[in-house]
Amino acid sequence: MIWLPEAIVLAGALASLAFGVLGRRSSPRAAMDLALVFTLAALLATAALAGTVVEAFAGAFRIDGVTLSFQLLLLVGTALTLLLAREDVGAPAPATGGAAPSGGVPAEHAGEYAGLLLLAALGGMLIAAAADLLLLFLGFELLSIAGYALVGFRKEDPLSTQAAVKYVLTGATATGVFVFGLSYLIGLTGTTDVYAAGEVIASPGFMERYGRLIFLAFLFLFIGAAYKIAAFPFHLWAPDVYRGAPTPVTMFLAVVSKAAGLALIVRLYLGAFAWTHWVGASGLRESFLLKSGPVVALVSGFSMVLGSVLALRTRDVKRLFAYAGIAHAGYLLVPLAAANPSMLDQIVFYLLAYLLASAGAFAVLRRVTEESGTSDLKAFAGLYHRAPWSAWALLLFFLSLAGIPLTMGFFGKWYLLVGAAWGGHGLLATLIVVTSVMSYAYYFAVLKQAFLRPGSTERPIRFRGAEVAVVLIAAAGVLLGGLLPGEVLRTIAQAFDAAHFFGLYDGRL
Amino acid sequence: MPGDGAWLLLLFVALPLVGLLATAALPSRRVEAIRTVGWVVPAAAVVVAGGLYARFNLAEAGRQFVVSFPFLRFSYPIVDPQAGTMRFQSVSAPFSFGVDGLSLPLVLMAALVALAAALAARTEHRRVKTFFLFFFLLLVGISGVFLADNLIVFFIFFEFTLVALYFLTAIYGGFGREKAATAFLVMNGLGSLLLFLGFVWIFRLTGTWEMGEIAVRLPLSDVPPGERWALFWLLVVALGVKLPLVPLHPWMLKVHREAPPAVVMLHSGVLLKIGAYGFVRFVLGFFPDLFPKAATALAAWGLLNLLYGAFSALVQNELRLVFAYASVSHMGIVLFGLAALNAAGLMGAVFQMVSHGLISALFFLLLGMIVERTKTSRLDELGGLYRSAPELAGLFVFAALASLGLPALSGFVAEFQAFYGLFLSPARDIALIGLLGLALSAAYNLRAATRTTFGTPRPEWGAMADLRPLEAVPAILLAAAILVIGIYPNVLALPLEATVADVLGRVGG
Repeated sequence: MIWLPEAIVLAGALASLAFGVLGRRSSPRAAMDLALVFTLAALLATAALAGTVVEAFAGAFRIDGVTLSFQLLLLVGTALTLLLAREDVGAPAPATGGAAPSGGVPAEHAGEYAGLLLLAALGGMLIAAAADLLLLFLGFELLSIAGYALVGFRKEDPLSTQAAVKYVLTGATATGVFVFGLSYLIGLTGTTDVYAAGEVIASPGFMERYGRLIFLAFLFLFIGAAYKIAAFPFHLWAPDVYRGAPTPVTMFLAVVSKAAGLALIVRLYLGAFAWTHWVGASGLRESFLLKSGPVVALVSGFSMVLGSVLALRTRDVKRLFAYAGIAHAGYLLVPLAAANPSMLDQIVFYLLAYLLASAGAFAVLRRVTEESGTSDLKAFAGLYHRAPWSAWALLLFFLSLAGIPLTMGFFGKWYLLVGAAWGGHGLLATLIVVTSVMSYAYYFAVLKQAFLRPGSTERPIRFRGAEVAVVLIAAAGVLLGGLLPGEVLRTIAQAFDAAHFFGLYDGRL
Repeated sequence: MPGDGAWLLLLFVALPLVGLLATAALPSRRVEAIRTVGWVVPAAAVVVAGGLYARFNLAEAGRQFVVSFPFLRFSYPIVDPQAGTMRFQSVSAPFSFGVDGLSLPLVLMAALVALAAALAARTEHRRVKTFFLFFFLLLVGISGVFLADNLIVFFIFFEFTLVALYFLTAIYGGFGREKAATAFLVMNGLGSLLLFLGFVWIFRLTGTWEMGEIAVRLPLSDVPPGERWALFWLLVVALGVKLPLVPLHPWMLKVHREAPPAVVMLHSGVLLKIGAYGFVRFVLGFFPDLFPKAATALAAWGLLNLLYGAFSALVQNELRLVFAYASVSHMGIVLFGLAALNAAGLMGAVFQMVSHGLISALFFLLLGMIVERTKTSRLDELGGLYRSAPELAGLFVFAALASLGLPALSGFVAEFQAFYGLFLSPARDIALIGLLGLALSAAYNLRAATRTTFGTPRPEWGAMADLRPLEAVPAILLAAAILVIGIYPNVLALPLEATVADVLGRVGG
């Protein structure tokens, strides 16, 4: 039953949808709770599969270390999102006029809200597990389409609708680019299996003959997938979409969607392309990994710099998260560009750190924006006096996102730097350092409001139970990862080692 | 089991943490209890540091009282170029501390200055609990940074000081506090991350994070000289931000001008010394073969610091800036001592770190008292202190004399050795020009002292309280330390000797 986690999530999505239609109106949040229970069950089912490496459905579906690690990340992110989204249901509707950054979801739509979130998560899980290009694309589309609907979920809010339209238009373009690349790959190799395609590409004489076209296919696929992680050059949707979407959905896009996008890139890049060697025109032995490195490095570098520069100039916190997210996408591509043997550990570790800290920060952000009715930086003014614990928590999350010890984010950046140095990428390492300093500036701009500026009111902020839960879980994770980084690293390394992914992980200590 | 001294060391590192937790546990309205914790814990740390000093083995050159906890273990891919194979090696970076002749004097000085600052901070009455939370966070960083035995641990403590000082400046500073704090954050963030980049690169070259191991392995490794020179200058610039070296210093002027006196005591007294300590430990310690070739350049840079700082101090009207530039000038003398590359010079450099730490802390302690009484720190508004508060004025003149290098006070011992060392070295011409700096130092110190103490007091100050008993304690502590070192330099010279000989023994490769 290796497809049990996916089945549970699918069942959860259908159950929540059905519950939304049939369930009693008096307990609208029950649909969300139901979805949460299913998500946790799927989480357990995934964890129970640890260590298995197996293929099913004629090789289209593959469970290995990569699959499980990414699926765990996706499910944790989804569970945290559901906790946060739970508080949306039945909350007062957003103010008309479009200024409200957040607001409620009508009780009668709770089922759809939960169902769509689970369907999107299912799309991400399929991406992580797919070893077939068509299944991969299916997951990609499922995630995207559910995402479009979620972004525009608050129909009466013009900003939300506008965001949805932007998301659809960029998404459609990116999908087009992606499918175009897919057609080249499938057409040239004659197979839809990722690994079989990889074998065809690696077969003698193939690259010499079709090298340019294969490279073109890679470029299109990579750029198309970059849209999902909001990396350059498909990053421009992020600020408006993050701003317009309901905050839990913003969080979903920021953490779950990004993780799924990385799973997509990892599976395609490392599965089909990266291990190809051939004899180049000059008679030298060439390697795809080294040839494509500069492209990945370029995307990574531009994402880091653009995201950080733009984040410095924004005053809207949700947009700030979008720009910072672009920079984080750049960081996450560094291991691939540096092509070191521990790159998957680096990506997963960094993603986990990013996921936890972002989730916690979004939980605080949501309550604060809800209270003040705006997502301007000013909304955070006086937070320290209104809710001291949340201000300290926010400090912790931002320190982690900025990569300051003793948080998990610090070791995330540390590991990226070690990886970049291993690959000899001094330039990328320097860019990480410089953009991290810029991130100090923009994250501390928010903290400055929270700790230094007096707010317009001293009225205490009361956090909802589910928000407190998200903050506590995230804070515990961020601290644990910062205090026991070795344990977390070992766990991740073992997850991959058990899978012998690509045969790279033999002989690990 | 760790021995006696190791327990003391552990206690020394843990004490500020205890203070932090105790402060956090106290409700914010119990101001007196928080203040008491605020000075009792640093006082205990002074006692513990004294215990370390008493147990220190003078003949031993390496680290003593080593305490180590498993912290970070990860597998790192090592390529064997001959066989063309790759294997994973387990690398561990334990949380380890130890003290040697270089760190012991700095630890003693830091403990003393911390106690004085804690006593001075008793006058802080805004948000006392928050103040002491960040104050203890700063102390956590300070107490670990000189003792850390490996680069990751060093960096973790180093970054604590960044966060803590940011908030201490930004919340409790003067009119331009937020700008000063941001300038500090960005410049120091850049400096520390560049330093970290250097650390990661060193790890790439040596495969270890242990300082002692690196000092042995790095000079012997077959790394191309170009790469090692790049690393050398990277570290110089990164640490030069902290020290500060002259074009990198504007942030520290802002901090001196804006931060509250108690914080500046720690900043000027201890934090700048982290830069100087890094110069000895990393730049000289890791590159003993390259350092002699760069010695003249570094001495010249020191000269620039010395003269630029001295000339600027001479024309400032703001007393805080006089001391800030005096610090710049005095750090030039540290570079002199290092560049001399002989026992006298190196001793002088370490003496200068300790002596300047004490003197600068004393200056800002007194300045805080003066500002409290007169509400100004401008030289053209001050005056007549000798008539209204003779004891305070007397101490101020004492500090100025110590700063200008009066024999029998610590400043003299330090400067004499540093200059003497440089005279013996090939860069003696630079030492000759540097003598001008000493003359200027006399001029600006006396100018500050006479303008403050002579003349007639302003009528609006009314009857001024002289040194209160509570204020006298920290001032006398610092003054006594200055005097002891000046009269009996062996208190520091004896523990230093073995380590200095060890460092110099490896110079020249």
